[in-house]
Order: sequence, then C-alpha cells, then structure tokens
Amino acid sequence: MQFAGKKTDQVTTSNPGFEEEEEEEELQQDWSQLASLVSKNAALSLPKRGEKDYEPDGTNLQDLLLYNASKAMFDTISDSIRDTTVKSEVRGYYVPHKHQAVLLKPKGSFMQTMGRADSTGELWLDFHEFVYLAERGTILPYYRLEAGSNKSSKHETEILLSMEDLYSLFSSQQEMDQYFVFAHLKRLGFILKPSNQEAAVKTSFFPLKKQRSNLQAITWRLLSLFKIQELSLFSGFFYSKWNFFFRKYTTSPQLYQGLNRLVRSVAVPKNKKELLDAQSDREFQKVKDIPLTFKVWKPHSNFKKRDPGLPDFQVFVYNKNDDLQHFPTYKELRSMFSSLDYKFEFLSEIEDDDDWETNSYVEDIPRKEYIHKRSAKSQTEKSESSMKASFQKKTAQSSTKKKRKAYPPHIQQNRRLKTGYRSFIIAIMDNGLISFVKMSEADFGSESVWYTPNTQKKVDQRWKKH
Amino acid sequence: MSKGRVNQKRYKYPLPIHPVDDLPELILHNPLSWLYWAYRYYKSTNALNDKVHVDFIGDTTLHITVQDDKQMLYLWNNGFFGTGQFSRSEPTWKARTEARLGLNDTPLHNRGGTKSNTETEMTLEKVTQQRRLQRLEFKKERAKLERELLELRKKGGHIDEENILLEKQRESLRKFKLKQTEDVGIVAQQQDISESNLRDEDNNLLDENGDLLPLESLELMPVEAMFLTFALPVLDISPACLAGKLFQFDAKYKDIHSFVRSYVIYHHYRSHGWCVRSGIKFGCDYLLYKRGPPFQHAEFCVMGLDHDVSKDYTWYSSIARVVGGAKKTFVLCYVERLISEQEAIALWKSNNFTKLFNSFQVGEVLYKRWVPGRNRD
Repeated sequence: MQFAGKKTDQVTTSNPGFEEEEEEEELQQDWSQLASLVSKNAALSLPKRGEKDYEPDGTNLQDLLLYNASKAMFDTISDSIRDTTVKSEVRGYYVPHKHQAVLLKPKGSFMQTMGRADSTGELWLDFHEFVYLAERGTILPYYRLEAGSNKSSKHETEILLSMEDLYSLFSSQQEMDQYFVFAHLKRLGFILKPSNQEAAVKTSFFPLKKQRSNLQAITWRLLSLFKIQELSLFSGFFYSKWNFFFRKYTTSPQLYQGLNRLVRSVAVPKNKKELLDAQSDREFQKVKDIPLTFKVWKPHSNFKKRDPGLPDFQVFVYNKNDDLQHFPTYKELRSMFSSLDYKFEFLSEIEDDDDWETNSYVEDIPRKEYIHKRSAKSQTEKSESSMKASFQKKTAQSSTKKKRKAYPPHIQQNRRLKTGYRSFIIAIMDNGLISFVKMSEADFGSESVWYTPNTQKKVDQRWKKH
Repeated sequence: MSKGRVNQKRYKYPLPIHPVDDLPELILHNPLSWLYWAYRYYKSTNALNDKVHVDFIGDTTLHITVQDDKQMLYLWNNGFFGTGQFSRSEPTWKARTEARLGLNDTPLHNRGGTKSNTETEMTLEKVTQQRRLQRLEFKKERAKLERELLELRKKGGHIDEENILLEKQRESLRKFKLKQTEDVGIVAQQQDISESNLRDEDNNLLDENGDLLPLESLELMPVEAMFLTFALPVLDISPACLAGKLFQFDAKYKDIHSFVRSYVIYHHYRSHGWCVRSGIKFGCDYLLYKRGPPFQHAEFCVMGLDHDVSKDYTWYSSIARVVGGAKKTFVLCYVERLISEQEAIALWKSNNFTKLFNSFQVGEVLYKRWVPGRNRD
C-alpha cells in the first residue's frame, strides 16, 4: 500500500496518543478504507489534480464532485479515535526555573530524535520540544511548581495545562517564532536541534584548530597586503589613453584580462582546502558570530541523538516585523557563512554519506576512525567482520562512483554559478507565515564566460573525445 | 545559411574593440614572412579609426544617444550596447519602416547589418506580435471547447462521458498548437500584405528625396557610456567630459554614489565576459546574458546593494518572486567602498577613475526560495 511508507509522524495529528505499532495499524486501516472507497466506484473518486473549475457553472455535476471530495476527507478522519489510552499516556512536567520539561516515564518514538535522558532515566525536553509534543497530543503537559529534590510531593502540585497556557509560557516573541519554524519543519519529518546545543559526540567538518604562530600570522598579513598592491599596480595602464598605442591585443580574452583587474571581488572558499584555510583565518581574525538558530537533518531512520553527525542544513530564524531584527547585511551574511559547519553540499569531491564519515572530525580524529574505535571497544570480534564488510561496501561504492556522469566544463560552470558555494537557510516569520530562503555564496569574479570562437570549439571537441 | 551561423558571424566580437586577429601567417623558414608579419603587427592597432559620436540631449534628464545608423548597429553588433528608441532593444526601426513602406527593393538581409531573421525576413518585433496573435487564437479555441464541456454538463452527462470529451479536447488543442507552429510563415506573409497599406502620415517620415528620415537613435545607459569611454575608448568623448555631463562639478559624494556603485557592478560583470543589460523589465538592476540576447535568455538577475544595507524583507521577496517567475537566478551584488567618502569624491573630481573604481570590492550572494518539502531526500 502506498501510504504505508510515509512517515507516520505526519498524520498523527488526526489520532494522537498511539504508540508506534498500534499507530501504524490504525493509520493503515484509515487509508485502506479510503482506498476501497476509491476502487468501489469511479464516480465517487477524489478528483485528481489537473483541470481546475474556475467558477460555479450551475450544474449538479460540479456540486456533486465538490461534495464527494469533501465527504471522502471527512469520512477518512471521522472514524479515527482521538483520545489517549491510559496505557500509553505520557506526562510531561514543565520545570519553570529551567524552562524545560521532564518526562518521568518516557516512551514513544519521539525519543529517537528529541530530548536528553539523564542518569536517572528521566527525559528532559527543551521547551519547544515540549510544546510540540503537547500540541500533537503525544504527551500531556503539566505544570510542576517544585522540581527535583522531593519526588513524592510532585504529584500534588501538578496542573494540567491547556495550549493557551503553554503558549503563555514562551519567554519571548523570538522564542515563539523559533518554535513555529521548529514545529513546521518537524511536522515535515526533519530533525532539528538548536545550534547552541552540542550533542555528546561533537562532529565538525573542521579538525581541531592548531594555533597559528605569530610569525605565520604576520607573513599571512603581509601576503594579503601584497595581493591588493599587485592588483592596483596592474590595473592602471589598461585605462590610460596610451594603452592601445603601446599594446596590442590579439585575442578577446587578453582584452578581458585587461578589463577585469579593475574591480576587486570577494574570494569565496570553493573546495575543501580553501574551506579549511578560511576556517583558520577566521580563528585568527576573531570574527564575532551571529548565531544560527537550528541545525537540521533530513529525515532518516537511524538518527542518533548522542552522535548525530554533520547536519544537512543550518537555519536562521528572523522575524520580519520585529524592529530589533533586520535582514542580514552583507557583513553579517559573510560572518554567518564563515560560521557554518554542515555537510557542505557543493564539495564535489565528497559525494555520498560514506565520504562524509571520512571528511568530518570528532575530537580531531576523522569520524570514520572514531566510529571504528567505538565499535571495536564494544565488540572486538564483530568489528573485524564489519570492517571487512564496510571495506567491501566501500570498494563497491567507489566503483559505482566512477561511473557517475561527469559534465562538460561549461555546464559545470553554469552549475557553480547557479548553486553557489556555502549556504544556509533563512526562515522568515511574518505574522505566523513562514517563508524559507536559501542564501548561498557566489563568486562570479572567478569565472570567465567570455566568448572566444576558436578555443571554445577546441574545448568542446576535446570534450567529445573523452 | 542557418540563423545560428548568421549570428555567429554577425556577433563575432563580444566587445566594440576588436583584437588584432588579421595578422598574416608566420612561415618559419621564410624570413620575408617574418618581416611582413612584423610590419603588419606594427601597423595594426586595437583602437577604432573613427570613434562613435554621441550626443547629449535633455536638460533635466540626460539622454546619451548615438544618431548615426552605422554606429548604432556597430554598438549593437559588438557587445549589445544601448537600446533603439523605437525598437525593443536592437535599433530595427529603420529597416522595419523601409520594408513596410517598400522604400528599398533589396530584400532585408542584403542590407548592411539589419538581417535579424533571414529565413522568414521577419524582425523580432514582428515575431513577438505574431506569437501574441497566435496565443489569442489559441485562447479562443480553448474557450470554445470549454463551452462545449459546459453544454455537456448542463445536459447532465455522466462523468465518464465528460472524461472522454476532455481527452478529445486535449488532443484537438494539441493538434491546433502544432498546426500553429507550422503555419508561422504563412501567417507572417498575410500580415505583411495587410500592413503594407500606406497611411497619410507616412509621408511625414520621408525627406524630399523620398528617403526615410533618420528618426531613431540608440540610447545608452550612463554606465554603458562610461564603459565605452573609460574602459574602452569607443565614444568620441573623454571620461572626464562624460563625468561633467552626468554630474555638476560641485557634486557631493552622495550624488555620485549610486552611479559609481552601478558602474562598478556593470564593469565587474562586463569584464568577466557577461553581456550586461538593464534589468528594469524584471524589477532589478541588470540582466546577465552569456553571449547576448539573440543567443539565449538571460540566466541571472542582479540587484546592487551597499554592503552594510539591510532592506525590508518584502523588498527581497518581491524581486525574487518576479525573477523566479522568469526562471532566472537572483543575485544580490554587494558593493563595499574601501576608501573614505572624501577620498572617493577627490578621485572623482581629479578624474582618476581607475583608482576610484579600483577601491571598490564586490561580493555576491545568491537568493533562492527554499521549499522544505522538496529538500527532504
């Protein structure tokens, strides 16, 4: 059945409170009911997307189609049970002084991606996670005035909270905005963590920074100065009156090279080496960051809270109507770009997940080694076979990787120009409406697109030969 | 000759300054050929023999125009500079009008430079006009079919019947469209006949010899004019003279700021080989073409900004929507001045444009709408 594969999270709003297996069964029943409805009678089918009726045409047929469409949807949800069974009830207690919530007897599939368990087996939820789960009906929100010390007194002071109550507990508008973005992406299946929250195993694209020696720093400074000098020395003559008296340009590219020394452009890291260099420069310059809000992982089933690896995206939340916030300026954008630490999707040399394991670091050792070490510790015997397996897998992958289609240079260039390099996502909040924008660094200054009749053909021919 | 080949030849040079590419062959064992080569090399120059003459028109708003037919076309053919005032962009008014009035017996493509579409002898403006007509016909046809469907519904047709009819209609519409694309030539000829009727006021277009008056001129954007004087010596004025026309001699930095910023951006893209044209039709500063308008659509829309500026989000989103709707990529081009305002205005006043423009830095950020649902796997 086609609906079975869908993430169950998405549909839980209609019948909350069920645990994984139960829940799935329920859902399948619901949708199969709908499916049987569809197959029974063609005339009763849900209208397929496609042709739109622009206005009421006064016919019964149109009314009938409309009625059927809405009825099918109502029928689907009318049969589902919308309560919590006592057995699966999970209570969450809000702890005011921590602005967090604690689950004493946590259970449920949400534990895979949310909360942090402490040594006593209690699960601590961030406030936005708490509100999210309460809103979905997965947990029942309670207010608890006393926390921690005396466990027996807890149940006497608990009050069941309504959604209004919960929302009034947000500490600021900003927190609420962040919650809405969190909830929106979470409902779509993404996994989110606040950027300022580190997992137990911290993974970074960058190895631990080595301190630059003073001497290195000084030479670096001097070199960068020299670059600018060189630029201005060169550019002058081309624009003087006498340029074409003394110099002859035999090809268009020569002319362009004379032209493009004038305006400087910001250099952008384009490959792994440049990224690492940029990172160490950043250390040196001590740039002050504008913190990004969330780290986002695409939905995947073997997510580990303890060791999540590099995120797929990073999100910055910004409220359009808050006078204290503004759309980032270029300076701010640059500092945000340089603070990014995610799966830099533009790196062409790193193409699949396996590569990311080798290209990210945990405590200054490659993540791959780290994973091996851990698995070796826990199960020395098994690890050997698994290593072998992973080795085989890797060789298999690398052989398939070679088959990956390479594109001709001008198409590659077009892609570089259109997708850019480092990127992050801005979530803009406007009175409850969320829009997402992807900002990526681009570098038109390092690409030349001028047309040269002869060489162009040569390049193409050379390409065809390959 | 195919249209592509004609364009290759016509727009061979991407800039109005041509490289020296007519040097004779160098034969290694023949010293005479060396001499000849050296002579030719010595005699050749990149500079233009006669520079393009520009006129400045208007007091309050300055229009920088080129009046001469040949020079207008030269600027268009070599880098797509300027816009014909009576045309869409390429100055085609003269050719169109001569063809309409039947002034010149020679077919359009034999005349210097004006061959825009040799096969059908149609100007671009006509192509657009015709496409619009066809679109209108198509819409009429579609409306007709929609009425048929309504008839059926009113008669109480079953949904199966309706589906059959819908399928039929789709098929017939497809055929209609196909026929339209095949009929391009025929429609064009019919139109030509209907258009060749002379009007009384057409007489005013002619001089006493019966020749067409040169009414159309090519208008250059200020940044284009600056590029054609300062960066490449093409126009017959000096950069200083142009600067004097653009701004009063006692201009403050804030007066020249937006022009300087625009020029820096224009020069930045031009110098990397892009054909840069105004992006006003898409609500932004510039459009970037890879080679030029006849070859492909522009793929990028550029909006210039100061590096320390933050606009209201609506500003970004509205431009991005328009640009995205035209299937182009939106580029925010941030410009940073590396010297103080006083230094900048001093450089401007001393006509030291090289140093002025050299002290600017550009950085680009791509802005793209992101849809979570499409980025899940």
